[in-house]
Amino acid sequence: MRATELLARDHRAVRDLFLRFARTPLDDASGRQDLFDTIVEELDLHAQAEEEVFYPAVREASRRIHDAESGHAHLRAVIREVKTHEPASSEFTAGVRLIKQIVLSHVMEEEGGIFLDAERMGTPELERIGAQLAERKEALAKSVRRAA
Amino acid sequence: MAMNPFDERGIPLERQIRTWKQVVLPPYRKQDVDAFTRCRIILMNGIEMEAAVFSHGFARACDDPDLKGQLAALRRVEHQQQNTVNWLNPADQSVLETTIGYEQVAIELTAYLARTEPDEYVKQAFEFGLLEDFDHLYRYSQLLDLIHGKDPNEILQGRTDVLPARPTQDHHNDPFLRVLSHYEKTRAHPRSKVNVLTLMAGEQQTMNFYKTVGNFYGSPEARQLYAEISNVEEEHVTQYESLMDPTETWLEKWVMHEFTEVANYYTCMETEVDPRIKKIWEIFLACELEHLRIAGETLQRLQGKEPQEICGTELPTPATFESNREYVTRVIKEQSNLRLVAGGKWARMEELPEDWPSFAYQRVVHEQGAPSETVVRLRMEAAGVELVRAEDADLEAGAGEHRVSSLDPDPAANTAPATYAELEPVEREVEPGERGEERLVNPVEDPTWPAAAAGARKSGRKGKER
Repeated sequence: MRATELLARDHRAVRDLFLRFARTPLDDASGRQDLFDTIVEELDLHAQAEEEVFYPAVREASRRIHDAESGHAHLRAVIREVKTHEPASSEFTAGVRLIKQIVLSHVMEEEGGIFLDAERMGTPELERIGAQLAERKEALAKSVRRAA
Repeated sequence: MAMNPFDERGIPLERQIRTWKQVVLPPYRKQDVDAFTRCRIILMNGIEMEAAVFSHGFARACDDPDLKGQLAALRRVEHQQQNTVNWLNPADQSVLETTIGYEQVAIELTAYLARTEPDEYVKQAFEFGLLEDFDHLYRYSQLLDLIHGKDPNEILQGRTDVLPARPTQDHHNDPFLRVLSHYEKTRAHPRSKVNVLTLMAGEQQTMNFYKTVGNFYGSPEARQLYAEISNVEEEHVTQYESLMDPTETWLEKWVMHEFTEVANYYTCMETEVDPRIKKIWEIFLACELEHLRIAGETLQRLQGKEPQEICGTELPTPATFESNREYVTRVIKEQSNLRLVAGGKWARMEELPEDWPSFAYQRVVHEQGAPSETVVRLRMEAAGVELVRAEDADLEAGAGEHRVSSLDPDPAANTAPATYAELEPVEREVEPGERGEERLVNPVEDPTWPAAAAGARKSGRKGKER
């Protein structure tokens, strides 16, 4: 699969998780916490694989990588802050909403920018990067599961 | 002028909504408005138009309902602002009079921005566009005289010369040539970013205006001139937008738009001579300060960047309208023979290759003549001379010669000669009647018309055989 398609699937998956979070009642603290943990884990895996495989591979083709990397750094800082709040608190709700907004903004820039730049590299190259990306994501997921 | 917009407080958004009566204010009187007040009004309408166009584009790419809502909230206010600004133009100002105002904006704005532009490449792009808008003013002025019998100085108030520069028939280019090289967002001076956005907004509104109102005239020559020049304005939008760094994020662009609006309203407020209109600029500046704060706060929240990283803290003064006559004259003399070539560059006319790509397009669109030449010919036929208005007597006397010598090697067949003496009569599609009583123009006001029309109906022909 092309790297851009793989990453776009991740984007859609995390968007669905945010929707599920919004539908989870406020008094379901453990449900909110579980979903939040899943969102954070998905974002972590996605961002790390992007930084280790995708961004280095497309850096030559796109001048937008620096912005994307600093976007990841900003997202991680906000996630750290949100983690300090109780799942039933209004700060937590506002925090998840902010994370969602940051992710949506990042997705808009990436899909409308870096992905289009990367298309110039051609399908065979994007498929090669896609295979590396899938492999790296799988390895990262395994190590997260082992740690848990 | 040193004002840090991030230190200023604006009007809270919820208090920016006004009643319809507050939105639609009495227009200025065209007989006594200051020419540069009219310029500021025309420009700020263009700035607000771009704000709306950009914000809708952003919303269409955006999947975040909260952000879409925020954009819509600002658009609603800016819509009212634009109504107020644009409708300061009075109903009795004709389309052509307003057009002369639009070209005065294009010339004086472009010249001021070029004079103050820190980036040499951007400056060259501005100077190139300047000579085209300058020539448009000259062409429309022929039409204003022909249709309304008015002197362009009734609008320009002697602050802008009316002279040919790079002939309009040569402004039509291969689209790829209009795509210039862009600045780099992290290296460009904020003033360059504001200058480019301001000029792009102004040209875009000029294109929209001509495209919308060119059909308000019945004369085919007038309609064709609007068609030709609006097409050049389309090229100008291409040219100026290509100077912007495409990797600016949507949020960065949003901040730049609001910053540019602040800078322009601030300049208008500082330089306005009409106290009533100055108050309008002041209120809208206060609105825009809040819009900038909201955009900046959103950028910080969603991308972790400070707005000052994008636009700095010192306001440029783009909407400065002042005399640029000396500067413009120098550019006319030095650059009328410049043309666009591949790679975002320029070359002298005599250096153009035979297969210069713009020739192909020009041959097609000018096959039946260039409207921008027709209006000059018509004015020469009507008055014996083309209409020029220059402070410098030499420039005025040499205008026809300059116009012809600035043509590229493949001029339109109807190109007007330098002087009336060289003019050959144009062959008309309708021939005059044998006894010379047939009219070439609409005969509706002719008292003999009903009889003539009845005769025409009887014979089934309009003309010669009766």
